[in-house]
Amino acid sequence: MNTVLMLAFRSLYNRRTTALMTMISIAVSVALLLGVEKIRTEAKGSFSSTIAGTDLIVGARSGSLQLLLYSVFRIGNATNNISWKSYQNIAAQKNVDWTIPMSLGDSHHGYRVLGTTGDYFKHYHYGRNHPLVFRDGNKFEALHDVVLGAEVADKLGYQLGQKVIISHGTGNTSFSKHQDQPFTVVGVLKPTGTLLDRTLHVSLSAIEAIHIDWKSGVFIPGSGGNQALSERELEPREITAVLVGLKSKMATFQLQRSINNYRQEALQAILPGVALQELWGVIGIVENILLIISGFVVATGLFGMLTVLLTSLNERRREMAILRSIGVRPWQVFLLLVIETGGLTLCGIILGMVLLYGGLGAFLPLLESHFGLFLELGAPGGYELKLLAIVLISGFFCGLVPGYRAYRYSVYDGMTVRL
Amino acid sequence: MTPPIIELEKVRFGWQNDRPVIDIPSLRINLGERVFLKGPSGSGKSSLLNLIGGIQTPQEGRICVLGNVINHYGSGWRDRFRSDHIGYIFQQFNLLPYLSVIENVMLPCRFSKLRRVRAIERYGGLEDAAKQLLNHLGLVDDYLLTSEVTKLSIGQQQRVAAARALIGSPELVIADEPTSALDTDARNAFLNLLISECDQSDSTLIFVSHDHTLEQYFSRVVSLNDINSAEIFI
Repeated sequence: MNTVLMLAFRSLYNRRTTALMTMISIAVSVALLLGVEKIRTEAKGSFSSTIAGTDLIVGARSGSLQLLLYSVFRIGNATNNISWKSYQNIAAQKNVDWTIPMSLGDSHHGYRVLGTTGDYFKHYHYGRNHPLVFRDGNKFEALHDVVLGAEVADKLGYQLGQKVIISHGTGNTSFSKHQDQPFTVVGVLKPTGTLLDRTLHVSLSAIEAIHIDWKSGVFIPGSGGNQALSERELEPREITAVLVGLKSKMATFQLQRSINNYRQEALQAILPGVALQELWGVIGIVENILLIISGFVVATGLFGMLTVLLTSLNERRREMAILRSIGVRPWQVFLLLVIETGGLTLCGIILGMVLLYGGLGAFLPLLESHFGLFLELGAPGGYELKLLAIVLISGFFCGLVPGYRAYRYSVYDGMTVRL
Repeated sequence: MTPPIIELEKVRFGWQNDRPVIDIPSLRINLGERVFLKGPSGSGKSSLLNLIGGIQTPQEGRICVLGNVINHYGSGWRDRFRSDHIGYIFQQFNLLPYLSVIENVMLPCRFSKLRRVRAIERYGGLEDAAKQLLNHLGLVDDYLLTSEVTKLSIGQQQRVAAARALIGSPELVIADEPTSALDTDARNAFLNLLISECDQSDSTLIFVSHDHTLEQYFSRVVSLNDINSAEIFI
């Protein structure tokens, strides 16, 4: 047995170039499989951690997914707004701990501008309940202050104190700009890996202020009256959505029902967790497709190994004959081949892990800054180990094919090879 | 009379039952003989060697090697028997390319305890046995021992193969056209060395070749055409 192991190893070492190439192809496919799996789980985690600590999201009545998409993911637009009065009504409920009103609709170079209150920076949580942290500066105080998400500041190269002009509407290149009222950068948030990084935050009053002279989407100077900004009461008439935090989770459903049945206005309250799950169910198909594709890549790697071994087998019939002549049994020849394939697969898996973890370690900062993907370099979990075990077992099963052929050769050829 | 090492009686063997390639009514080779087995290609040489080595079994008859009717035993027993008692030298490509010269020589002792014990008894150790044998066969340089076998000339490779066949003093050495790739000088030198080493280890030698000029080295010449009554279609 030891001798067979030694022979398998020496034989492989002798064919080290092809063996190495085979191993690398398996390694790459394994790295891809695990990488996809890792990104899949982490993406799901980062997706569902876009919003945390919020008990209810309230908006105009539409669909729960739509409300989630436009309020949290800034995808699409609200069909309707909530009146300020309704908002105040909700905020005054006895179970409500805090509220974050949100007003969306303007943009800056394709980045959404969010009108909100100072409570946003206090109560908004993401990930595993991380609060928002400022990288530079502070939250907005004056009317024309703006706080940037990390990506906005990095991509557009904005510094504290710089002037920023906001566009009307959400297009990437908008021709209608709020040129008359430039904003000053007063704060930049730390990267969160969520949509927050791509958002500009201003106060609700500021949103009101920049729209004073606008009628039906057109800027008509003077149309909003000639009163100075500082003398106006800039209370919003409408907002887009509200994030609600409750004093007690127990009250969630009760408040949800009362909001859904609100008489004065067609409102809707959703549970973020439930809606996120629902949304992931829709886009989760992609993750399965990814996994299937990487499964096929692994199969390709194994088939490659099988091809290499079967091709070399004919050249190695001489070797089998020599082994037979010194009394090596056919099943030992079989074992030799199975050990080879198993060994190649095992080494490929190990190399693949090294590739993956080395690569992730090297590119982690890049992934974080460019894709907002926060991966954790933990040891492979149960599911990953199961995948690896499947690869390894498949490798051994692949070995059965050349093993069986070598067995047949060694039984029928014996010591004479008819080439 | 010297006892027989190989006895074949009414042996019939064929890949298809109705068309035997081997049909030998009787063949007896005695202990210590130097047998030259000649026959053109396709005369059933390989089949006969596979039968004697226990790789294949005949459909009829009995093959007796060292007093054992080997075709009455299972394949595992025959593999062990071959590993213990028979050394082989092939025509060409005798050596495992991924082992060094000395590892190739010692390889049979890894599979046969009997030959390992004999080699150690006679030479004091496995490596010593391999070195001595290689020395006797004219491979003196130490650097050859650990070098890659593919760097050796064919003549040197065949001597290494002979050393491997002889290590642990198997009772029977079968050489299947080992000199066909060698030139005349190398061939004569090889034969002399092989026969003298067989004498040293008391091994019976069966030498298969179609080259008549080699007959003079052997105590007995057996023509396969004479003993095999199977009709061979080439």
